[in-house]
Amino acid sequence: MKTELLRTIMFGAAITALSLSACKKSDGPGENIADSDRWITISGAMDDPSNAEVGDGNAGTMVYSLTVEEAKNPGISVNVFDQGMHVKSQRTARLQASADGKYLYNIQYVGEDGGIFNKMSVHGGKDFRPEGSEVDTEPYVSASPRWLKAVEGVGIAVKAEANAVVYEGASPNFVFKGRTASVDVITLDLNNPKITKVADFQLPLSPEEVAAGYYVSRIDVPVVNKAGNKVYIGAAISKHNTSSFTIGTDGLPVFAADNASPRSWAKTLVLDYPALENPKVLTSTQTRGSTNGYRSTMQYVGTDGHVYQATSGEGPGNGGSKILKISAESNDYDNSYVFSLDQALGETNTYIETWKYAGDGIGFVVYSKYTGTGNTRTGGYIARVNLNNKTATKYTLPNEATLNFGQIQAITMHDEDVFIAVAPVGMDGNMYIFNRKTGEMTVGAKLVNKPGNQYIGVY
Amino acid sequence: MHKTLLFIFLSLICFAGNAQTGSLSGRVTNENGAAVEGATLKIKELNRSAITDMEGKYELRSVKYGSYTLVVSALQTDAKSVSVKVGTGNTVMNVKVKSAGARALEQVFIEGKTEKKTIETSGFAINVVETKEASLRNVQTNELLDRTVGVRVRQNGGLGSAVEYNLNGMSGRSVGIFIDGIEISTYGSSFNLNSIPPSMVERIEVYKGVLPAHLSGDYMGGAINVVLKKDISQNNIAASISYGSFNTYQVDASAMYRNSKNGFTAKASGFYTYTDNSYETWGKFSKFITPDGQVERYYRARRFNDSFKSTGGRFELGFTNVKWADALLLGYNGSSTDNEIPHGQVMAKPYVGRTSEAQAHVFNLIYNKKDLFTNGLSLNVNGVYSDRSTYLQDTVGYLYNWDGNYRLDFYNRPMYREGYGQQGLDVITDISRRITTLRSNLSYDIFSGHRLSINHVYYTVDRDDEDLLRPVANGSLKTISDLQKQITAFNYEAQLFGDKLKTNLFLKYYQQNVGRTTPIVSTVGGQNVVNTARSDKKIDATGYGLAASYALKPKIVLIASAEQAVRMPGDTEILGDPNENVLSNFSIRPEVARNINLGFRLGNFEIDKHRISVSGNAFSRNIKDRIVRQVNSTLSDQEVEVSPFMNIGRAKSLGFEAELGYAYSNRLNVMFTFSKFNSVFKQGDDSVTGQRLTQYEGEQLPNEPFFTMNGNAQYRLNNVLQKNSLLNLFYNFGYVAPFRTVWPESEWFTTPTQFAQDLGLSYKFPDRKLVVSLDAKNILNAEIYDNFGVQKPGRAFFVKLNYSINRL
Repeated sequence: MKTELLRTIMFGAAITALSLSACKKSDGPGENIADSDRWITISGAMDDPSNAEVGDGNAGTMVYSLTVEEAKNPGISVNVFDQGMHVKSQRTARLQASADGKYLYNIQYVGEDGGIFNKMSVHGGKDFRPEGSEVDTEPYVSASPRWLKAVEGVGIAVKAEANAVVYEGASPNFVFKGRTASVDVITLDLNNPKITKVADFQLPLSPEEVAAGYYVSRIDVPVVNKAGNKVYIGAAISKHNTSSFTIGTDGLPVFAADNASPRSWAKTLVLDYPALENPKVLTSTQTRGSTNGYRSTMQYVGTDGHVYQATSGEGPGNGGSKILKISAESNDYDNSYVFSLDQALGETNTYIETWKYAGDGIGFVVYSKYTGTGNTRTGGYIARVNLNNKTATKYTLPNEATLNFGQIQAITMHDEDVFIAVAPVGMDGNMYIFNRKTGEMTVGAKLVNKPGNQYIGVY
Repeated sequence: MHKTLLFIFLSLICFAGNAQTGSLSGRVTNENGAAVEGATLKIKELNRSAITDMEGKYELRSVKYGSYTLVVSALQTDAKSVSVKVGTGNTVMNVKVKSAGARALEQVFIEGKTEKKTIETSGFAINVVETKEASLRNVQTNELLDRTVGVRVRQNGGLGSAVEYNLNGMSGRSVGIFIDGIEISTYGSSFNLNSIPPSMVERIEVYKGVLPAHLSGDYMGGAINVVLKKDISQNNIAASISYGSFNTYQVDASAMYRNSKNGFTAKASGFYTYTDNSYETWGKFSKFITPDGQVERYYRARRFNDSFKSTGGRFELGFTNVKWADALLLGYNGSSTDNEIPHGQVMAKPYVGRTSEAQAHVFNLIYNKKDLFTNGLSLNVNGVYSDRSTYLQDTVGYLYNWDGNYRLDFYNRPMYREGYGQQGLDVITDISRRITTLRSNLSYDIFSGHRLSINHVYYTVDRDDEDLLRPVANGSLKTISDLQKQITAFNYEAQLFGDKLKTNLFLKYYQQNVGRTTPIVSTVGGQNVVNTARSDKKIDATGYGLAASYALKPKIVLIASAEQAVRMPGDTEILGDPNENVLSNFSIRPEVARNINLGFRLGNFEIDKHRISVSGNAFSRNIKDRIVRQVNSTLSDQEVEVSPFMNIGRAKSLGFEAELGYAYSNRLNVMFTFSKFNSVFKQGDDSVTGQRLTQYEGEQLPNEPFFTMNGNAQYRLNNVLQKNSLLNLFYNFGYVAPFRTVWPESEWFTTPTQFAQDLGLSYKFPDRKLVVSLDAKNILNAEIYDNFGVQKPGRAFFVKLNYSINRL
């Protein structure tokens, strides 16, 4: 009788073993990839089909590397979604790369390992190899950190978290007093991954702004200045309606967002670097917009040593995005300088999604336009701008009206070439290469797409 | 429309004929008073029979009034005939038989249906989990459910941690949990499947996709109904105590008294559970972080701050089996839990000092009576009032590492956040709810084999939130939400073609009222002026379905059921929530699912001493108007994202499950089950361009354990060590195929193969009063996960003593 039992167990185990081996994955086709001095890595984001929004890019990131020659060759086709490697991150990874394209840096976005940094060396195709330690930044900058390679070899991750609204008085005679933000900034050694400095502080705006309901709601895109003694961090300012509120289920007042009043002037947080001390808020009165961008760099150190910073979110009818200047001498806004993309192009309602400073006052701007209804934007355009003589030339791209650069993360530069991935959501497109000196545009490798997906970066 | 049709249909049925039936139950004992298990009782005249259970009990239902000869036969006893008269209600007939020396066990021949089998062949896709055996062992109610075919219990850690139930690929708000037909939320979070011991449970019914009228609720994926102990056939006292790994101890006790003269009945039961959950984790998400942020994976960590304490008691007083009531019981159910929360949804950060306490005081009144006023009319009323509260505290600002110490920052200082708790801002909140549920069921046997019934459920909840950390002066002015639900169901059951075909046709009408009153305060000229905004929304919906079973041969039963099921939108989905940046959407519609089950049950087939049974079920779930949160396309706008919930898209699930049973000579029992399904989103194509919208159209949803297998074997040995003792050996395995947790193919984000095996034994002493059980769980110390990255306990040992006195 005991053997009967044993046999049954063995039978069960055999079934299990069988089904296990049936689930084994097959390896991809063998790929022979030659070595290269400069890899061009392309990234794409997948649509999460669980919500209504098509092309939300929330299902994750895939990467694939080409040689420079391949990237420039329109006869080459690449599909990162089928051929590439999935970057460790539950949602769209926030990727950065070394200037020579040899390393990718990733901080995972949300999930179990949200906020964990890891570094990969690039070997062509889908061959990316982990290198060095993983670093947990989550306790400082949350599981959804905003970060950039702020200077070669150094990553800076930041977080601004608005504190609870302060009010006085007893119900229902509550009086709004103001809101501040807690800010965390850390520096990361990208060569030997580890945290090298941490700082946290409270960041209030001026007493007048605080009383009016303004507060720092988000910070991003840190960059270190040419002298290497300051770090500039872009900011978004939000506002509460202070004169009206509802009372929540717990009896506490809820002050709603005020999107009707004028937005705050553009602001930038500045800290001493590398000490991360002495926080100050710089204000430009050239535009009422945000300086924190979305997922990609908005500010660069120019050849002339000044920092050039793009703004966005001015809202329709407010003159469009600007490029502002932070002076190398005063380490404050040069309030006499402003580059207006609207004016330079002779357009209205432009919105800079991202841009790349390409040296000698030349930049390549990727922008969309407000439709005028609400804050919706449409289209995807590229222009070459000259920040010195404030001119801009728009390129003509196929499918401009349907392009969407809302999630673009990176534009890369190699020698005189600037690489931008251009493909509408769910449709094929191409790598476009712009000569930073002559402005000439050429079409490179074909980017094969899949439904709902989009190409978001070149490194 | 459908409602009208059904009414017409029902009116056409003439109210003719009358069949008066009662039930017959009792207990078979031998000359020493010991229970006789496996005895067959046969009503000679009707050729109907039943079999006694381990306690010697039997029951025969729907027996026509009259005088009969009851023949009792068992292998170990001499046959005996007694005469019995069946009348109103339940007739109790206890039979004493004489042991007949040693007789070979080979000739056991089982006929008749158990309660389990009766329900399982009713036409619904249902599995009945019997708890009798398990209640003597160290097995939790959730573990029992998890072994059931098509059910996947996903728990976020050890005993007491948050649980989600997946039935045939549907989970969350799609699956209803009931206690005796009452929604479990009424009983509070302190009385749920985490805390109720199997010994308090008579059986658990798992309905897949199609819900009968008496379990009315707006659930699209099915429901789990926990039927608490109902038995009143004999007075008894039982108690058990168990102790095991991770400092886990559990105690439960129960007593039942019924005065056979006047029907006075008193029942009491209680439980106490405590565990430290201090098990080890060592998987890739078990991490230690150095002061400069470097991550050490596969860190062997012992979980701390994870204790769970649960206490509960249930008392019922009243009368049973009296002239004017089959049962009139007034009950009180009190429970409380004290739970340390060891981490969030993922194991990333260990928490210290985040605790929740829940309490519930529940009063209920049960009345049921068959043949009320007239024969064939039955009334069943269950009213419940509950006062429950949940307290949450999280005020420790320090951060911890998985070694149990403070997490050190870059400067080797303990990391501390002023004003923060372990999971966001510091909080101390108390949420209390007062819930009233009334469930009534009136049924009428039109004529033999035809029954009409009406089921009505009324549910209302009143909620009060309090912030104890930041108390508001004069804080009585609050946003108040109210919710009322009413579900009216009509049901027509018929047995046709000599009872070969059983059908159950039902129609459900759902009504829901949600309302909210929000105080709006504006400052006008330095003065605060209070206005209130009131929003209301009334939604109704209709669902209907049919369940049928057809016995081709007595041992070959085909089963089919289908339902148009409905899930009503919740108050946040309709009214929005400013705290969560959710906008209101008053035009939101209920989610609708078309569920179909097709199955069969074969067996038991007997060949010599072998007994085999097979059952299988194929299912399809088709959901439209799924309620999802709209994602804002202009994400880069600096305003905080606010968006409503909307009815968008479709989802589909197809699958198959099967159960294979094998028994040998009443000694060996083997059961094997597997379940496989494919759940996908169906977005369709763009209405303008006709283009596919997503790469993942029609692909298996991530984070769904879509392929599971379970197996268990039980081997019984008589007379080990002592004569008349009973030794049972158990083996169990659970297998979950690897599944991705993100959409793209990624080894890192794949939950690996899980294969856990348990061993157990229970020894029943010859006096049949004492049972000792030993259980070893996850004997190979396998790395297992229900939720991505949250490791479950490894190897663990438990011992349990059960003591019961039956004839008082």
